[in-house]
Amino acid sequence: MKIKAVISLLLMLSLCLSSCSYNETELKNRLIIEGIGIDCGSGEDIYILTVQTLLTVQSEDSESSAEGSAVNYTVSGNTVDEALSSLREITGKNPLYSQNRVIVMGSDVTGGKFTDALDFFAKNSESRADVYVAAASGKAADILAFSDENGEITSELIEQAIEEGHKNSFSVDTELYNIVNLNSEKNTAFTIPLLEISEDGSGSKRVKVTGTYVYTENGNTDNLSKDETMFFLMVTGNAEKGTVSITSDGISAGLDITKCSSKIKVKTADGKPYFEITVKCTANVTEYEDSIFTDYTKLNTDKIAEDAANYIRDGINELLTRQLKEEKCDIFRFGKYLMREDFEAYISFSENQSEALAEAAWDLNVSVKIKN
Amino acid sequence: MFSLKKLLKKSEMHLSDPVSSEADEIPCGINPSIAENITVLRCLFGESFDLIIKETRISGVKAAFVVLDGMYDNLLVSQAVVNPVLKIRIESPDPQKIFKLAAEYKATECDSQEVSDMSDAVDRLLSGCILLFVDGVNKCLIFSVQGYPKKSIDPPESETQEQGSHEGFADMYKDNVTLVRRRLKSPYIRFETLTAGETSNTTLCVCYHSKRADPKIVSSVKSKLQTASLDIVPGAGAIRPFLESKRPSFFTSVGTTERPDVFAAKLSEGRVGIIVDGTPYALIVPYLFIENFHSLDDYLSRPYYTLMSRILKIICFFTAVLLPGAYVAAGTYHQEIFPPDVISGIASSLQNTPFPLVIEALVIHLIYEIVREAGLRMPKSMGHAVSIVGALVIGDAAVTAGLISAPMLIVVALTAICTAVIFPLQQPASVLRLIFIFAGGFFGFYGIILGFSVIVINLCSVSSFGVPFTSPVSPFDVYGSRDSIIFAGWRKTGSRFMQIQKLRGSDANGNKS
Amino acid sequence: METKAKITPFQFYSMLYLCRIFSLAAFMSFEGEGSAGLVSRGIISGIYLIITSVPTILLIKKDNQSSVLTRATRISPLFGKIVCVIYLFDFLVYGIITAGRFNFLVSAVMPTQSNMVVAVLLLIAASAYCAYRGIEGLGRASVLFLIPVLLSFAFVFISLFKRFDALNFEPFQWSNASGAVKGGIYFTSVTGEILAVAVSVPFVKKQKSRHIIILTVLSAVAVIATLAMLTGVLGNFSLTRLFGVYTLSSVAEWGLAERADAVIICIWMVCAVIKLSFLLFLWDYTLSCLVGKVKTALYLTLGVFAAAAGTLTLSSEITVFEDFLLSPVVYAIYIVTAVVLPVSVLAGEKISKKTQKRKWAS
Repeated sequence: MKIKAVISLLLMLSLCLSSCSYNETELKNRLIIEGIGIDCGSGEDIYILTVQTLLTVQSEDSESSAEGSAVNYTVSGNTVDEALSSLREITGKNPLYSQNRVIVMGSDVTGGKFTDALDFFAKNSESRADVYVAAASGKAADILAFSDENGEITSELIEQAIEEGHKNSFSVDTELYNIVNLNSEKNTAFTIPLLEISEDGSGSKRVKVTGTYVYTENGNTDNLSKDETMFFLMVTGNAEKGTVSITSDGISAGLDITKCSSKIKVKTADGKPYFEITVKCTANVTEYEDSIFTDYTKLNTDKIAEDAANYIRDGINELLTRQLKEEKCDIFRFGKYLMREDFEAYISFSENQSEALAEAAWDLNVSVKIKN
Repeated sequence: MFSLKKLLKKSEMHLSDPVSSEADEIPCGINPSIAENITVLRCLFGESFDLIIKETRISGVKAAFVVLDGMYDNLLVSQAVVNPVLKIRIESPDPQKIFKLAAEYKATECDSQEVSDMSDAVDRLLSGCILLFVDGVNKCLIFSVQGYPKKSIDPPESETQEQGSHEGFADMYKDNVTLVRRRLKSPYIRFETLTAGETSNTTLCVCYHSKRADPKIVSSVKSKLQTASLDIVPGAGAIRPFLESKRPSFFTSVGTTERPDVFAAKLSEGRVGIIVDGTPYALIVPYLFIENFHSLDDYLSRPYYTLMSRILKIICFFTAVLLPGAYVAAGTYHQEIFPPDVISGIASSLQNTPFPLVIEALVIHLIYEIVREAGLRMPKSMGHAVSIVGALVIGDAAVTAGLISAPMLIVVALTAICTAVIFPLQQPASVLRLIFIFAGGFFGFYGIILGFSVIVINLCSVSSFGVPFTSPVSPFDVYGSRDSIIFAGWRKTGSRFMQIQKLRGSDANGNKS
Repeated sequence: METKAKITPFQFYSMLYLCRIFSLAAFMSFEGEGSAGLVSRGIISGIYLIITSVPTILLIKKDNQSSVLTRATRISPLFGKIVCVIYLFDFLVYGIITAGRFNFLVSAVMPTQSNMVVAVLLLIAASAYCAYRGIEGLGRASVLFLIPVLLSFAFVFISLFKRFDALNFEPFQWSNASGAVKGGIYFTSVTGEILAVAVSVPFVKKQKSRHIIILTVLSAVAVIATLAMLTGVLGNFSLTRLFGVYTLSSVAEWGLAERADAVIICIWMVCAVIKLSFLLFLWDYTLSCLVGKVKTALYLTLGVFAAAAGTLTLSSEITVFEDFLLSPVVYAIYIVTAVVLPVSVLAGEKISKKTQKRKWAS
């Protein structure tokens, strides 16, 4: 019995040892990818990727450019997979995708190339499903090549900018799985943050989120500004906080929106889709510019609230008109609402949903409650 | 393979050649002739210098005192035995009368006993008693005059408590019995002696509460001790394997304690204790796994602190066992688990190390075990040198030279500290840690979880004298759980004593659900 | 066959629940056939489970001491042997499914260089050892493991609550009704815990029918809740990758606790060990009922070899495994062992009772 136990143990040990592949998979032999930028190439290679990796040793590689504690590599290929595979040849290390913070798509990556490029990340189990996807106003390579004064990694800055932007409702925070999910819905467009290198007030350059990039299967249709992004998030119920500046009785006021909720009901009226959109906001008055010191209790908060509601209502109406009627782009997933609440109507509209939505009417109710 | 098997069997047979039992060599009865008895004893003890045979005459009748040098109390022997016996004067010298007088009233300052069996007499002689043979009598008188050197009652070394008593068990079993008696002044506490070890004839004292202990457990303990095939009993640990569950397990199902207060508390719960002569550690059965995280201070502190302390110990146990393997697994296979802010530091520190993480972990833990063992065995005068070597060589030089990484050193240090917190589990933790490093290094978290599952299921299948080892957690016992991870406090638990054999799932409980 | 070791109903049903959890955690996207009807399939699966557990409930109600194997043998030795052989095949198939799922789950998340053959063999060897230790160890360990498993699910659910989007659901009219029914029946058939109940009767103390009802209801709730969360959070993305529930755990984050998917999946892997160990234990018991008891672990060794051979063959490629899982074999063995055999045993017992009465009367 003891001999059997010893032989079994030796067998298991030899099996274990024969299976070990630690040399290739250890952290020191992995190329830690922080961010990936995808641009379109001319010629044979469809995709040119800028891969930002963590610098753990001094690199003497002439093909790479070192920025702070990160190193950028430029690779290309007919597919993203092919391009990323060549990283192994350049660096001699196995890429680690699970630390990837952001995928930046260049402005020239449009149409089918956009979704094809993301296919690798969608299917690769090492790539995290909640990685942010953003669009660059120009080349993704320029965004990732940006060098911060403090030596911070650009991908980290982009990630922080997106998260901060979403908290303050001027940026969407679309993750990879959202894109795949929305892309699978018929006629639904998806939105991703738009990145740009711009100067701030002090003259120093930073990578900023300047709005939202709208993508349909036909390619980019429109970009939304920061305010429009806030209105978009309000309609879809994803707004957390926000800042609104209005003019009330000729005096400018600033409001901090602390809470926002929305409700959408869908019906059909006269054979056309009809939406009842209700947006409720709670806000604090943070600023009220007046030449005379105003006692807070004498502020006409009802008037401010009404003006703020009007401002938001006008903004949302404009956004709805532009997106649904002009661009014929369903970024609000109204089609899905219709499918859920009036399936027969959805079926009848499904042939030409964008045209049907262009003829849609809506009733928009916005209310703002001033808390402080 | 077959010839190897035969070879192993042959060597086994050779090593375990039956040696005749020592008891077989001693003639059964005591000879009336004193000369014969002396001859038997001289043959038995051979050239041993410490056998003292003093031949004398009591009222004209030949007699002999037999004692082992160094085992008796000099003053007691001379005042309570030799002088009174030698003063016996009777008119007609009758060996039987002299024997009776010596037994009954002349030497009454110490215990005396008559034996007619030579092996019993030799046993008592070896225990430090003095024998009196009278020519013409086929019995001998035994006087308890033990006075061998023994250790005093010192504070326990391994179970230090903040609030508990500072008395620990001593080497003499009688002293230990006294320590327990002082704490349990109940006539129902039984102390029954057995011997174990063919050569050492070590006295084992089986202790239990006759009203609370399960008689089946008591008789099972006794029969296991009696059938324990041992030649010598160097310590309590030699007895333990005979009491443990037959199912192989990393964890012992026999408890050990150096503290009489803990021992007394366990007896009051219906457990059976075994005090081994010559060792300051007592054994306790049945024993539960959760008790490895208990200490006396838990019962003397406030319940909320006890809860925190026990949870801390459980966390320390899992850290000590799993952390090195988990770190190796994460660094080798599951790098996604590292937060983005931490991974750069770890990756940079791993960059220059030549060895794979699994080898690094194994080597550093083996070095730690060597240093720990050295600290335990070496003379105190060398302690400082080893500390310096350990700290500088392993801690500083190895990291500076790039042989090991700083995170690995942190892992080892944390593991070492956590192991110290759970002293009763130090041995299995040390071995399991190495196993999990292997498992993590070759199969990542899946290897660790496979190993962990096997160990937990094995643990759950073990019983300690019919009581499930993982009780009262699983099977869950409501009353027992009041002193498992939590301690409900003395107000709730004090009045109603717990009987361990009545825990859910135990055989004595009839397996009631 | 006399059995001394007994576990409580709570321990037994915890074990079955963990078996169900593993099937849920290792749910493969091709089993969903489009996320549209995932929740409806879950609901239908729950209803089918409750309906097919009725024969087992009736079996327990009539006699909660003897297993279905013993009772079949009492009716007729030949019938008993047939029942044993069917259950043996049943346990082998479910064992292969479990080990196969483990194989693919580990290979999906481990580096490609790792040797999965060794991983599967180690799983089967470890499970065999655990089965050898007996049902008491498995039962008690199941209760211990239930807590972290439920906590991990709670963590995933609570942390993903904010990302839950009801818009990801599609109306029932959207999905194919017959496909939803077939999918629901498949979900129940491919797990098969209820089959173990009828065989395990001698090992469980004081089993009552309400225990089975509680298990089926809780299993149905777990399935529906998990599939609902999967659809609500990931939508169609859940079917892009092979293991949707694993992807769900990779997205879960709560405060500082993020990237815990590797740990969460390991906790769920414990369920694989429990399930395979239990199936091997039942294999050993069934074989001893069929052939006779042996002192050594011969039957377990046979089970190990059979499971290893089957797993390595059928899970060598994903397409082969897909064909195996979606084949009629799985549906057939479930309906036979969950419904046909228990009903046959009940009917057989009634007939033999009547026959005996007639004999006494005459």
